[in-house]
Amino acid sequence: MIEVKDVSKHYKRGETVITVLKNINLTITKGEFVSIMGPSGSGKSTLLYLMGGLDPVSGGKIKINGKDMTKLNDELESSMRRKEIGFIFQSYNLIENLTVEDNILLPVRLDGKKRKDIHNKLDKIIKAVGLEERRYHTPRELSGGQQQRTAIARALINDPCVLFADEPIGNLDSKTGKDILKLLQSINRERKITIVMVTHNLEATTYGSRIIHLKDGMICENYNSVNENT
Amino acid sequence: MEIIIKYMLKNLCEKRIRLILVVFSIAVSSGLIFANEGFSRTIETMFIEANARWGANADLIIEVKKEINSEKWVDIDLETLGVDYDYAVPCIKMNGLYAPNVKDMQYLTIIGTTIDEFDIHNPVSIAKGSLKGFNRMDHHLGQKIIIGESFAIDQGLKIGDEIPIEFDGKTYFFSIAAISEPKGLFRREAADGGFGIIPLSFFEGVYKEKMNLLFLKLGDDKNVEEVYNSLHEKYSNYKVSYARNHDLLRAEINNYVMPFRISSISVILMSMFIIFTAFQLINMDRISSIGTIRSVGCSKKLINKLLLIESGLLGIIGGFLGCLMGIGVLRIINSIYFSSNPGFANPPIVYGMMEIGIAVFSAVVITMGSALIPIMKTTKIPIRNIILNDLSNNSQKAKIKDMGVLGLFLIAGSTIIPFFLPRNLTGMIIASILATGALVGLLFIIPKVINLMAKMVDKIPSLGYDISLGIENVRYSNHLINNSRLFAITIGIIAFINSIFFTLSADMERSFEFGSQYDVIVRLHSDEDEIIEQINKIDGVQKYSVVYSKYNLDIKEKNTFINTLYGISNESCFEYIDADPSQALEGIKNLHNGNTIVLTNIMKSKYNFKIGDRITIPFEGKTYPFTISGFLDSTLSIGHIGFISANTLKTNFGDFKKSVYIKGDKAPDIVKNTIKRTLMRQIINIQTKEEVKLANRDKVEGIFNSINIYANIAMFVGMIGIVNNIIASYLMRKRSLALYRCVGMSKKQIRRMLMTESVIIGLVGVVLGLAAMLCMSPNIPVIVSLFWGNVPIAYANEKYLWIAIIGILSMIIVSYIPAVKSNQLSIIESIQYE
Repeated sequence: MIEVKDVSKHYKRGETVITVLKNINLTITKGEFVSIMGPSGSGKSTLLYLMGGLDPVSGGKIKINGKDMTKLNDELESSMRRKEIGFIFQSYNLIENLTVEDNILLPVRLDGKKRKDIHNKLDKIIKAVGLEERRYHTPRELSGGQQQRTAIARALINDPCVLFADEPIGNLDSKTGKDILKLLQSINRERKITIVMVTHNLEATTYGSRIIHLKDGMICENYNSVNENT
Repeated sequence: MEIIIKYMLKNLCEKRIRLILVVFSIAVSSGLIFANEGFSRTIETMFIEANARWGANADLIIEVKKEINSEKWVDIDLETLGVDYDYAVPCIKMNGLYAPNVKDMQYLTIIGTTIDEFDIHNPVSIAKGSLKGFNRMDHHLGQKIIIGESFAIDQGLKIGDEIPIEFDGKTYFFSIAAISEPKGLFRREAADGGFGIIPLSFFEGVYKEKMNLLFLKLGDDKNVEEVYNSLHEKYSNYKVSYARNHDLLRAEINNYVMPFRISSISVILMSMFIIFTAFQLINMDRISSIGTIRSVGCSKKLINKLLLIESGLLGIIGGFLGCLMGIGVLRIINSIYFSSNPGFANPPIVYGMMEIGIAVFSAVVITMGSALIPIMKTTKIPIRNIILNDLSNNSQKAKIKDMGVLGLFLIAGSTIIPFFLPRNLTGMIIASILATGALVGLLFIIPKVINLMAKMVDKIPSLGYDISLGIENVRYSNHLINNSRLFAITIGIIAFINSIFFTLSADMERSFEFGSQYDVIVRLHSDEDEIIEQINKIDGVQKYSVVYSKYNLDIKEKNTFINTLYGISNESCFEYIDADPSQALEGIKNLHNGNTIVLTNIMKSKYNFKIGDRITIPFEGKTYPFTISGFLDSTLSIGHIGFISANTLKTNFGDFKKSVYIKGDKAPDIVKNTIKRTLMRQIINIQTKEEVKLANRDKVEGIFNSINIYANIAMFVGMIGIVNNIIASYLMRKRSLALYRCVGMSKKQIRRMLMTESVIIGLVGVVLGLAAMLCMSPNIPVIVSLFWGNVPIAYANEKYLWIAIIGILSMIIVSYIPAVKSNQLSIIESIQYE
């Protein structure tokens, strides 16, 4: 499903070249819920962005469903992000002037579909994330948890095969955080959507099936999660 | 405190692009103020020089009177003058006929003088040749002459050429010793009709006389009025006059500079808006840092003070840079203005510490004034909201919603109220305020119009979502709404300036086509009946009328002047002068009483004259009282004209001009040449209506070209502001653009969205800008009435179409900046940018 082969990433800051990731090799199979952990600066978010095609690799290959993300042109890469990949961020990243409903519909509408064509699906997703009462509100009228639920609904609207989540509970209180993690877990289990989540929170990893530890740009541990939440 | 100042300055320097744009906007405002002041001073210097081309450094002039039977020569012994003077330059002035052939035949004013003395009074700048041995007759070359550059070029003359000049029927030959630059006496020689300087000894030999003209420079020019009065009394058989008329000069300068001042107000207003938006952005950009500084105990007052000082410093930097830009603008205005005014060749630009001081001071005031509201708004935000990044502005949106109604009122007021305004200074000021008010109204209604438009466009079924998003962005983004506002104001101002230009041009066209029904105008040396009768018999002359005129007379009571006073012999004169007699029929009939005068409605409005008022016109030490018997419409000579009876003018105002207006029944050129052949030496000057029209259009277009520069600068300033806002809004929206990319928006879709925003801004700007111009246009007749008179509005439809096309195209081109930048956008860096 996701194949990461010999991937490295360097940044240039003035004259200095900073290596963030070194020869990462990784395979994630369909339906897995993988948590990536590691200290600050270990390269976990960078790895997530590289897998999602948000940042180009410095070396190596990343394949999602057999498609080499490093070889796609802008149109195909954008199309992948609309249809096959969903993103969830720590700071929700919603468009401020659009309502909850419009934010969720964004990838669908950009794909050329009309609102009426996916009306039923939209209703179901809004119900699934528990935002029926808030569908016509703008992000600034929502709580952090509600904003993250909107972001999750947006990521799910096009039935992607993989969901990338970057610290999805980093801005939330523990109770709301748990709710969001439960929601992600149910999405993973019920819809068989692969989830790759970057987190600092050890408890959060217990909702996933596998944990990958990164340190200094390299994978230092890769093991299955064994916890009551799984 | 020191740390905060250091931080603020460092932070400001980090926002380099925005800093450059703010400084540039300040520089543009200050540059315009500098150019305006500089141009005003250049014009003043030019007018003083032009005005002094005859009087030069002298204080008083004594010369022979022109009336019949007056003395022909000045017989004054300088030893017994009884005046303390620096110099006294005696000259003999004669009209000399240069007639190498009928076509080139023209009268030149020939001054016989001792060149060394004349050079002290009025320096001659030699372009070619030399003045060596000028006063002595050369046995090989004969008599010498200095001519002007313009005349030399016109006639194809060079140093050493011999030219024939006829005095009193006898032809003498002069060898060209030097050709003068267009300075001093020769500054406006094309307009004056040509000059020549020859040795005084030549005239002394021919006429056995010493002088008919004396230039006098007093030892102490503070006594000039006293000396004038004593000489006027002592030498009543001669004409004693001041070398310069300062009041007239000031009035003329004001008339020329006024249009520039009116135009530049609008450009400065636009610059203020740009500075205002730029400061708003800078402050929003560093709001989190301001929040941090405040959270550690820095008071609102201190931050306000620091930010204001910072804006003042930027004002000083921008002000000085503006002066450098202003020199360039001044050069352009000068070259365009004077290129169509042959009288003022090669003008140097004039500026000094005063202009720099005014420009920098204004820049500081404008910048601090424009920055004040954004600064206050920034520090007004509660610290809690800054820290929680809750900068929503719902209350402001609600306020703007309410302002929409006010906007409509302002625009409606600008359209309706001008019809009830008086045509005087008060009316002009109110009309200018109303026109500006319409622009302010435009600011308020634009968000409402965009909202309405977005709702309508959203209903179009086959519209791409990227396009819908573009429309939504314009609807909700303050930067983009500000862009629409700035663009609409720019279009409105440019269209308004063009409407003024077109209205005045159309009126000038009408004035020549329908206002005066002559074909040829002739100025003669004499108005003797037999010569006038001769004109009547010339083949091609259908009818004619003689009009007498006298220039530059003062009106004592109002400290103003009459540019041209016409002497009217009968009502038929009005067929040839662009003035509407129907408004003052009674008054014109009364002119024959001898002491009544008809003035223009412009003068009536300006100086509150009423029928029955008495005015006094001083001339050569005497005063002539007149009772106002009527007012009529005329835009001739900026409306400063009056009509009295021909007899009164001829009796009291010596040295008047005699013009014969001729209506022909053949082509004007044929009639002109026939008259020229028949009257030959009697003619001073002869022109067809087309030639007069061309000469006047050139003069007027000189002013309008310069005003057009302001319109273009307005466009330029507007575009800078728009580029500023577009770049700023791109920087502010980098994160949201990256978000769109995250959810699958392709680069192409981003470009289309940005392009849609620009097209919407362009369309709203063009449509509302032109609509605002139409609403403002009833103010035009009131605004121009003071310096032009009553004119109907004329709409420059073709020009508006061009403004619309260029405006929308410019917006599309400008939109490429964020479109290109968005291609290079790093999604990750932008998402992390907060």
